Amino acid sequence: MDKSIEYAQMCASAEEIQIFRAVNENSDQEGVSDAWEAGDFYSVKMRVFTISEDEDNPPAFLNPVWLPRQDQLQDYIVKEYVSVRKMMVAFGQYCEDYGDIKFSGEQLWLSFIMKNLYNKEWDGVEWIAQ
Amino acid sequence: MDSSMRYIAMCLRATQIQEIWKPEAGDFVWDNAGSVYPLSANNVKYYHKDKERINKFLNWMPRQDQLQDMVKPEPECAFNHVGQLVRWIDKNVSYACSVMTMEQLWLTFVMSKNYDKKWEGEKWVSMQS
Repeated sequence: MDKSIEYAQMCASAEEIQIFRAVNENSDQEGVSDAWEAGDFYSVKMRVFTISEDEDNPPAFLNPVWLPRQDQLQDYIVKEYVSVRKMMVAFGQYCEDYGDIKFSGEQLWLSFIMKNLYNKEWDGVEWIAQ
Repeated sequence: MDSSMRYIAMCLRATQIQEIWKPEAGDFVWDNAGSVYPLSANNVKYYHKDKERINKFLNWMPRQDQLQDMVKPEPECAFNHVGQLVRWIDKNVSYACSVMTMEQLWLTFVMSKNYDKKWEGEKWVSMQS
């Protein structure tokens, strides 16, 4: 799992992704999102934590940044393809055309999604609409 | 995370993968009671106290990033693990098409590349046989 500061920055800046772990009206506990799932990774002040079944979800005032795993990122885009193989081939092509060779798997998938679903590219600081 | 019966079976029978497991919080496991869940930090502490007994009822289900870490790097290959997988898919189209999820695809790739094994529906068999 990519626990780097770079990935945490890319995730924090991707509002389109963070919205899936935002506090919602139906949450049982005030100021705590019930959208967190066991197995989620999140970052608070450059430290990375994981959520398990016997631990509480992080309160919103800590500004936890969700660090999606690769499978979680793929869930957002897999419906655009007729098969997993087709998605992987398209992803491979994206990496050839646009990918940064220093990127981790998580960073590449996040970039692929931001490009394909939201037409945004990472400039090293934030996601820029193209 | 792929918690399908197929991926569980593939992981359970990949003894080479189970043997190299060093448990960490956030690792997904399948227990003998039939549940799939991520380990907590407390689970990991407990594991290290009684490794042998716990190994009998916990089986590791590696995430994609963990499977990618097992791919031996090839020199001068940009996006090393992705490039290697895409080339492997090209050479094994029908086999790769039988795989349902990305976890299964990476595990199949790692077993093929590192251990020369192929999934035959119920078990890993040597590709030489």
